[in-house]
Amino acid sequence: MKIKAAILRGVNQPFEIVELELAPPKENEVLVKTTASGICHSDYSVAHGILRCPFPIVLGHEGAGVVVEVGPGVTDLKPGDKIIAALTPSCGACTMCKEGKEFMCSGMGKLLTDCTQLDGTTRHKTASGEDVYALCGVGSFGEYMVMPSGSAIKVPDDTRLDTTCLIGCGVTTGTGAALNTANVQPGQSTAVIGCGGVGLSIIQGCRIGGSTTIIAIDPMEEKRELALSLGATHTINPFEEDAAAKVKELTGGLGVHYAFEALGRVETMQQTWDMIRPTGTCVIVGVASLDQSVKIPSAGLLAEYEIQGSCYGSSTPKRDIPRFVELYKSGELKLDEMITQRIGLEDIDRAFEEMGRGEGARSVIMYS
Amino acid sequence: MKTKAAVLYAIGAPLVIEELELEGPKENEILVNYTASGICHSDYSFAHGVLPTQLPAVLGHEGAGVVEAVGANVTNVKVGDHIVAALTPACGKCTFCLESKPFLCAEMSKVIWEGCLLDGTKRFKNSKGQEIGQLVCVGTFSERAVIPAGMAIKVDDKAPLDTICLIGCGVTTGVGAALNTVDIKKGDSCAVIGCGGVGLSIIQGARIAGAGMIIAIDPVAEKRELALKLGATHAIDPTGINIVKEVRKVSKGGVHFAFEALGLKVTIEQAWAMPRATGTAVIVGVPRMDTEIELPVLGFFGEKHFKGSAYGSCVPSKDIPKYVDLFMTGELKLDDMITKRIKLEDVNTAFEEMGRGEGARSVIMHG
Repeated sequence: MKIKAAILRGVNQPFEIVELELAPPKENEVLVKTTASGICHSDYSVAHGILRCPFPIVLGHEGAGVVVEVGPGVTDLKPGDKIIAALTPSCGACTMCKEGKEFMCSGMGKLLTDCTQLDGTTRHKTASGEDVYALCGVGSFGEYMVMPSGSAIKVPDDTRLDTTCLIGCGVTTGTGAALNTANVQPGQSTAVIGCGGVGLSIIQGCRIGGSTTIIAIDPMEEKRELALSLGATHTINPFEEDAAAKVKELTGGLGVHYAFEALGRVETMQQTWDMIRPTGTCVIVGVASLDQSVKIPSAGLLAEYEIQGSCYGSSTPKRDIPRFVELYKSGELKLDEMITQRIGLEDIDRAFEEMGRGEGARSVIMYS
Repeated sequence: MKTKAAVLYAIGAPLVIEELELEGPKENEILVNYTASGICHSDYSFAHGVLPTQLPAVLGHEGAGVVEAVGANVTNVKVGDHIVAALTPACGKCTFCLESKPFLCAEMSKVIWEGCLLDGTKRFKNSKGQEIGQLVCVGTFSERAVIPAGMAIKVDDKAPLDTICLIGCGVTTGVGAALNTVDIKKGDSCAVIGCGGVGLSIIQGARIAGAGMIIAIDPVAEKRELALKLGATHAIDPTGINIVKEVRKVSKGGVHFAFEALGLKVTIEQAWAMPRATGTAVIVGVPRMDTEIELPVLGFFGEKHFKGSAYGSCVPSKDIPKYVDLFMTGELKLDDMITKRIKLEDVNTAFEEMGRGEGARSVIMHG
């Protein structure tokens, strides 16, 4: 079938809105009509070469839509089902899936780096017959998507897809980092560096988990204000104050139980180490360029400091995505407030430029 | 009263064996007659300035003995009780004691870095009248010492004090790192870098927890053999090979837990590279305080953990009697870990051997 999509032909180039040929779903794959897609910072990282991918490619990995067709072997989805696209295919066969760690599924790495389907082939082609890759095997910057059936997480029919699409990546990554990776407990203290979509989701996860001191750190005033409205109890402008010293001051000199990094910069990752209390934990959610190292002074080890990564919110999507949808419906998880603007696919370059300037929390592309 | 002790007067200098004057216990303190003291690698680190403490000081912090006198208000032990000296005052009042984490008691830094009693004073004096501190507030390289009552953990009278003294530091640090700091599930795989007293204790803790594969890493053949005897399933000499690659190969992709028991930058960074995705590097060794650790960010993508373990994350009043029980039932093997028993006068020779990486543990037998 013919679909409209935004493709990228190389690093640091503008998108091209083109008509692509999309092949039907093969075995254990589904075809989904995209309702909406968030623009996530990882899309930006790929477009600017911080994360690598093959070209040409349909970016977008934070999509939701309606199943149109299922390939052979798909039994748990049918046309008409509403789905949110997960970043892991949850293959069920690899070591990590067998251990209930779908966020580490070996198929996920393949989808992330190869940007093909699980069989190693692509479904998109240009008019001239050139293969086009799809980020995370999803490619939500297109009107339709083909994805592994394990990546398509069914949600209730009464779910609004134009907001819950954010759960596909940023919200699950952030809220899951607080509720799954860290398992924040009532009364604990937390600090969050970076208040974009992921950071704001971490803040919400901390609030839902019962954290009573939630310190949001971001240089942009509008993001700090949004953080306060979504659950932060304190904010710090790191350009005006020493963020680590201020975190210590706000926690009686002790430091926080959990410090989250949601920017993907090694400097701020290192800063989390100076923010935690003895036996506290730094949770690294942001993704830095993979050739870098975090440098930390060893003294914290004597106080049993811990630093760990959090990948896709340590989520089991079939359990967590419906859970986050329920939290949205009950009003605990606020998504509407995180959406800065809704745009057409044609406006994607402008949204990326705004992201590059650190403006706004989340743009959502609406498909008709 | 008089007591014979080994005193460090200057970094790098030999310990001076001399008779000291010891003042009796004050409120909430006890007088202990040490039966024996292990020589722990941290003693060596303090003597060589790797870890700082105020000098002069009676070294030694791994002791067990018999209570000889108690000061006012002491209720947890009485004269004649057998005790192991714990390394945390467990004040019961600070934030971390209130959170049941006495291994991070706020008073600990005072006793470790200042070597005084909790009231800030010292009880030892040399013949010139100079005040002498006591390492970690216990000073077990002395026949007798006055220590805070909270650091005296009463143990089973039938347990041999000259063996269970090791539980005071190295064994609790190592076994506790495996049993308390992390949660090893039956069948999980572990690697342990360094097979001295602490490393061998980690190996035993991993075995007691039911770990499947336990890979011991040490360049000294006798230590690798001891590791195999105490529970390691594999022993690897890291000399001249890529030890990270080897561990990842043997464990088919990385271990669940990698323990570092040396306190060196290079091996700490190796420990970060050894675990599988979602695995944990546990740093038990104490590096120089100015060490900077470099962790490649790729590991965060695999949700790896990197954490310190302090004094085996122990609650001494719970864990020390438990480890004594494990020794008495034969699960925790301590006799094999003791390389030799020496007199206090031979402590400098034992330090030299430790500097060369020989043997697991020397134990000083007080007369």
